[in-house]
Amino acid sequence: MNEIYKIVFMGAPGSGKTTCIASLSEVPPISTDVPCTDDLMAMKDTTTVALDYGELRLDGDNGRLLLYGLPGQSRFSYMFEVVRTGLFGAILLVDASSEDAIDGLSETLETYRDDLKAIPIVVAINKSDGSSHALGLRCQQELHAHGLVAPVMTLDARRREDVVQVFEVLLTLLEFGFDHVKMGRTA
Amino acid sequence: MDVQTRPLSIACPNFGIEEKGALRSILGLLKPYLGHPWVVSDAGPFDVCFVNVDNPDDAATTLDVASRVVRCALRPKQHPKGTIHRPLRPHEVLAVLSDVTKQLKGSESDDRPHQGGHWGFRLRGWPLDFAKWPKPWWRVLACIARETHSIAQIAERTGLPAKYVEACIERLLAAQLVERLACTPAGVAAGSSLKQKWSALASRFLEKFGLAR
Repeated sequence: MNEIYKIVFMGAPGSGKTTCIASLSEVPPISTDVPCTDDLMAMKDTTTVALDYGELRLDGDNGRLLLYGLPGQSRFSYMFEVVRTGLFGAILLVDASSEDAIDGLSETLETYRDDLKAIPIVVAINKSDGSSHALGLRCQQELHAHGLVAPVMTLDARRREDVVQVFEVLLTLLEFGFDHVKMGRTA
Repeated sequence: MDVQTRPLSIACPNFGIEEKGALRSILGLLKPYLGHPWVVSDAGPFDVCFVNVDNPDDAATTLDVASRVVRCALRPKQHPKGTIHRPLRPHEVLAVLSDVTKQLKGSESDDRPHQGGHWGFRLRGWPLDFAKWPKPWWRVLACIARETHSIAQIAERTGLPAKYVEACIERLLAAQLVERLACTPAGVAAGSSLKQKWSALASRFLEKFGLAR
């Protein structure tokens, strides 16, 4: 049996979606990064224009976890259709080094509020300089304002163990908070 | 000491001395209308926290979405609903403190919610430092993040001893991160095929990442 599960990483440009997927994927991640030509040049060399994709294979059978990276902005919301079926969790990445960190999270929550209420979500603050408490509280306020209660934690997207810990929290939410909610898909 | 007998306490962690003095004066004026004594205090425990949100750095360090926080701003309309004016206006302070008094007294009015019912708990916000908490407590947090459950229900759903669950809930109550609500003793879907499916899936992934359950 081919069990397929999906997890999506969402966030503004530069929040670490590509890096998270690269640190978990067992297949070479597929990326649609291109060199920046606009204001983003000041932030980073490349940016994702469509989506990132990676995969984890489950031991023992043909089960697969598909990892997607999607922009969080509302203008890309049509891309969410690609991942909606079989989605069982979302990791919302917040770039602590960005002045617009909260605005990006707020836009994502506003755009995908209904979808995010139906699945486990974790807010992960990336690129923190170690003083992310205030930003964490701001994230919680945003969640609260959108009627969501979700864990907020910090990670360094380059460190696999950090990404795995976020994953562990997501799985805990799935197992104990969504134990009677139907999600996922068997292909 | 219970709410019925002690004065209720206001924290103003990022207010200046003059603003605190003004609030004390307002409390004096409102005394006949409040129906319960209120004091401005520098030492906890606090029943409500007034925060100056015009100073974002200070406010961010004192704001806790899960506590009874009253946001105070020069231009309240530019802030979330419920924000009141700075300098403080007596009628707004009266409205806010009357509400809090009602909530506090209501929550202590009865130890048994309904005949045959139980106290249930629902998470208002995840602790920011939850990653440092014992991992089994994450299960408790996950269990009450979307739904209200009693201690017994949480214990059954998480597979943890009730005493262990109680300890976690006590910590959440102390941090005002959990609501205590009346709930009926609904059946628990423990052992359902869906729960087993997610448990198996979580175990397989955690094993894959080298994490023991």
